Amino acid sequence: MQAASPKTLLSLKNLKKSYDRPVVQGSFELEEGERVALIGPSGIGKSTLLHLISGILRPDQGSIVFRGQELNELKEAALDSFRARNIGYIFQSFYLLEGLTVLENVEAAVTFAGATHYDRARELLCKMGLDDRLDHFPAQLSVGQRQRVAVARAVVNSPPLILADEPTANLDRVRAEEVLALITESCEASGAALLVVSHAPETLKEFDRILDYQAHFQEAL
Amino acid sequence: MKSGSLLHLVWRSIRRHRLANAVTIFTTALAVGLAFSVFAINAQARAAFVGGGGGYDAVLGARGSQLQLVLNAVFHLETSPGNIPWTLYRSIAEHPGVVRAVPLAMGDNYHGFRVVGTSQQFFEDPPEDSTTFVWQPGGRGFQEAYREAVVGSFAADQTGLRVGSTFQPSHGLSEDSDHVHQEEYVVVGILEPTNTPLDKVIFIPIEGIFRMDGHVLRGSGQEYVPAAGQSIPEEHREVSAVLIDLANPQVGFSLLQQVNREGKVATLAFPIGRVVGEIFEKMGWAHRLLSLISILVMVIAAFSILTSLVQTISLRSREFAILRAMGMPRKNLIWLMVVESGLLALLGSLAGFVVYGLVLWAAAFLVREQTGVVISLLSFHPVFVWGPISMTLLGATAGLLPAWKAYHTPVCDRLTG
Repeated sequence: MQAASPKTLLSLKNLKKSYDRPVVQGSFELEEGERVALIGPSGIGKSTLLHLISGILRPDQGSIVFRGQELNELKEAALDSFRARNIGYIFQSFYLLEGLTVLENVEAAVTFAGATHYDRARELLCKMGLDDRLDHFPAQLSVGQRQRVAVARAVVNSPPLILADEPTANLDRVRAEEVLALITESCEASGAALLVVSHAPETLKEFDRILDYQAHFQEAL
Repeated sequence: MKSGSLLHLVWRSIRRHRLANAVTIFTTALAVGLAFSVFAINAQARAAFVGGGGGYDAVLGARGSQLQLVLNAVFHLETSPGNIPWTLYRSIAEHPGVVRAVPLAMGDNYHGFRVVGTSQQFFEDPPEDSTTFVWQPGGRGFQEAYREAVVGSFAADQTGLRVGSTFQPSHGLSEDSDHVHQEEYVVVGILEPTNTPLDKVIFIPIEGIFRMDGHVLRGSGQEYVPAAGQSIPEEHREVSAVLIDLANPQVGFSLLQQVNREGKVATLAFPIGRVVGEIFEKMGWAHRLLSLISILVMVIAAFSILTSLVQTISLRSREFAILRAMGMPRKNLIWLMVVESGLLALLGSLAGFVVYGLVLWAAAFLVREQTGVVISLLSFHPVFVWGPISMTLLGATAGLLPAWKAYHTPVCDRLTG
């Protein structure tokens, strides 16, 4: 196995994943702190790529190297631990744990990472203007407040990589730009790299690279 | 509790689905409460009856069933198996191994409460380890030469008899007897509650029973009707039973041989606890059946936990996917469901103590009303330990199926779209 360059955070080589058809096929590199957007129509396989990077899914072929660690070599438990420590996930519709309060949603991410910096969870939420909502449940929040909680949860452990899966889906353009600004600012503050997949390129600004998903990951199809 | 820890997630999940879980916990509480009741009430009723001899060791009465004799003379239930001659009572009372012997004569009632003839000794010289008789204010024991009565606390409450009240006993043990005796008795003492069958009894001097109008004595084998103003010859007197306090158990076994095997006139019931215990031995099959049913009900409760959790699995599949994406190990989903179902069962078991308390309270009231025997509300029984443990394990086991389903939740499907 060839080691990735020191600045390379993530290296995907000849990655392939198929269901009834191939949905991911290609190579890609992401540098530390880099912000990349992958665009393409819905249902094409962008989320699957994020699942492969985060170790939720195993590829059929190819390698995923994260800071020199081949993820395919890790067993499931180690992958879970890797994910908790190294990846902040922002889901489509911001999926929060509905049974947990705002503060608990963010603190849970700290617990899963095996860390103890619970104070940072509170600090982040307060910084995002949620200090009076810490004990509220997600159902009691506005859409904008839920978005901020989701971002705080993703960045609380200062992971080197933030994955955002269609974070602006179902939002109007103004709200979509606000969300992306919040995500990019948070990544910049923590020095994290950002990989966003989206089907709405018009909202994507201030990214180092904006790549077409089909061109990069379905090149041979 | 750390946010995101297993127990924290379980607790939050239980709170989130609190209505459904409250129903599950209530169902489990009923099941566990039933098990507690079946096992503990049986044991406590047994202890209360077996230990209910009032400090006496044996009962002497007419030839017949020892159990009937004890139920009649000690618990004031059942009918008397017959009478024995006064002379037999005297010979027992004078036996060197007998510490005290108290005669009882039954056969009358007042508003359904038994009127029992006895001697002053019953109140003034009870066995050392027996009930202590305490009079309510203004009360005292009866004098044997007068038509005076002492009333148990429960009988006094129910009949309204107070110190100074008068009443006329009715013949027989049934409240609806149409033969009301002419003799009028005055109440001279009300007993404080003894929490024994004595609370349901009205005591009068035994001479009063002998002389009650319509009563005929057959102590000598010949019918004898006492005449007013004349003493009753001992050979004509008879008693329903004799309560006996023995110097030591060996005397009891010796008397048992003497009275039951060699004699033909009387029966000695000894020891009282063993004789009463026979009821529970004979009814053991019923207790075993009830025990089996209560255990089955606990299993059904475990199934209700299983059903409740399985129904929420599809609703919670996104939650499981989010947890997995956040880095929670997949095996923790199994623990999440197993601990949750076990905790529901444990909470149900704890609530089962409340159900048990209510059942015990009702049972204690009924048993006391029917027999005068008081069941202890605070007695320990091993079911209070193994019941909740078994229910919790059953509940946790019931969580395995939903755990399996949670484990196999397709994470990717639930995180997109």
